[in-house]
Amino acid sequence: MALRAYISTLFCALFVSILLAQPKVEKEMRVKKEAVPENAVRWIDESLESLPNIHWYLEKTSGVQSYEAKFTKSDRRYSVEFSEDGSIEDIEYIARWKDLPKEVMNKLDSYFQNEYDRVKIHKIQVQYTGADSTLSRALRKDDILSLTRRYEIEYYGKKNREKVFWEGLFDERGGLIEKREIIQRPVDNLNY
Amino acid sequence: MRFTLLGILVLTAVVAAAQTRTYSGFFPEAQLTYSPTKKLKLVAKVESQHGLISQENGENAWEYYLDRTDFQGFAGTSINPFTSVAVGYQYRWDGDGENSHRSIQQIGFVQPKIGLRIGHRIRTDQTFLPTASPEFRVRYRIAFDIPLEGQKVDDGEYYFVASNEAIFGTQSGELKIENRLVGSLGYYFGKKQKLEAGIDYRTDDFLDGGLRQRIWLKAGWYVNI
Repeated sequence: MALRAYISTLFCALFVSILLAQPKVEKEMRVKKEAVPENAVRWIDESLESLPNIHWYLEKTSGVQSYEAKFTKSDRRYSVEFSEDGSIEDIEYIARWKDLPKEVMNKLDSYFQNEYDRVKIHKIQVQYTGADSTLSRALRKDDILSLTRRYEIEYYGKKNREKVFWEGLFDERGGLIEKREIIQRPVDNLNY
Repeated sequence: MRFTLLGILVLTAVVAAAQTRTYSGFFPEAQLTYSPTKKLKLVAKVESQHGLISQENGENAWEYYLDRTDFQGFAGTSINPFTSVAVGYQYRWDGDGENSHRSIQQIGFVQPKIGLRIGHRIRTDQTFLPTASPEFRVRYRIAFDIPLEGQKVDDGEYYFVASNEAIFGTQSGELKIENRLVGSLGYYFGKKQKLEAGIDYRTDDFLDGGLRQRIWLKAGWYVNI
């Protein structure tokens, strides 16, 4: 009897541990405007003259919490990131290859040609950083080219037998700062 | 978009319920994926269909029956981060005693998009039955995997998966067509496991003059080790 109870407990513990043993490294969840620090909401309100449909998200990355406002303005998909206390951190928007400055395009092109046999770009995000007031003014006037910018590019790169999905961070001239491999969520439910 | 897809699925199921030859029941499945090397992926899967309601010529009958239980095994590899190929074998334990063997070949593509993933699967299979001619099929499935919280699915979040698969088969020179529309709500525990539950709506016998519909309440458990 005791043995049966022990085995049952062991199986229950094993099952529960499988369910709970997933570390939460990064998590993004939709939140209401009311749950966002007041200064972040005010910053957005003051920076955008005609308010688009804004979606707010809470992001937790390795225990660090931040807020993001996502919206579309002038056909651009923006994401404005704030720290936990509501201070502005950066502005990002999704760009197309042809929207990049010629100089950046050429530098990226030569990097990809030197490093890989074949490259396919999946997503380009332009990141802007700067002083609070500069960011606000730039967003209001759609004049963000005057800010310090970086490019976050998700691309597939093939070199010899190595085929990797990368996320590369490039400086404002298109020079590589760093890159990391993107580990995709398992696709077993889509393939089998 | 996610609500449109759900609406189409519900509407289709409602329309389907008004037709003749409709069978409904419960369809649990469990899948275990193991990668002994970076390149090799082994998949073991069990799925079982349990019928509960039959509707023929407008008459409903409530009766439990085991329709089938399938045991599948696959060995696959990735060609690149988005494309994979696999070969597999299935043994079907049929409720009518027509147990069968099936060989399977497939190629799958995944397109990561902003706010969703699109999966394409092309599969061929050959089924060998004890008292009938072999059946040969070609299948194409498109699947949309959509996060419900944020733009990507993180640990501990819900997502929605909708898929449609068209199946063309031939047996003794006779052409067969089947369609499978599935909509599921998923919960992603982390890269090691996820749960999905939804509706699997299958239609076939299009060319035989009597459409057959099967509506399964589906629940799937996916484990990666």
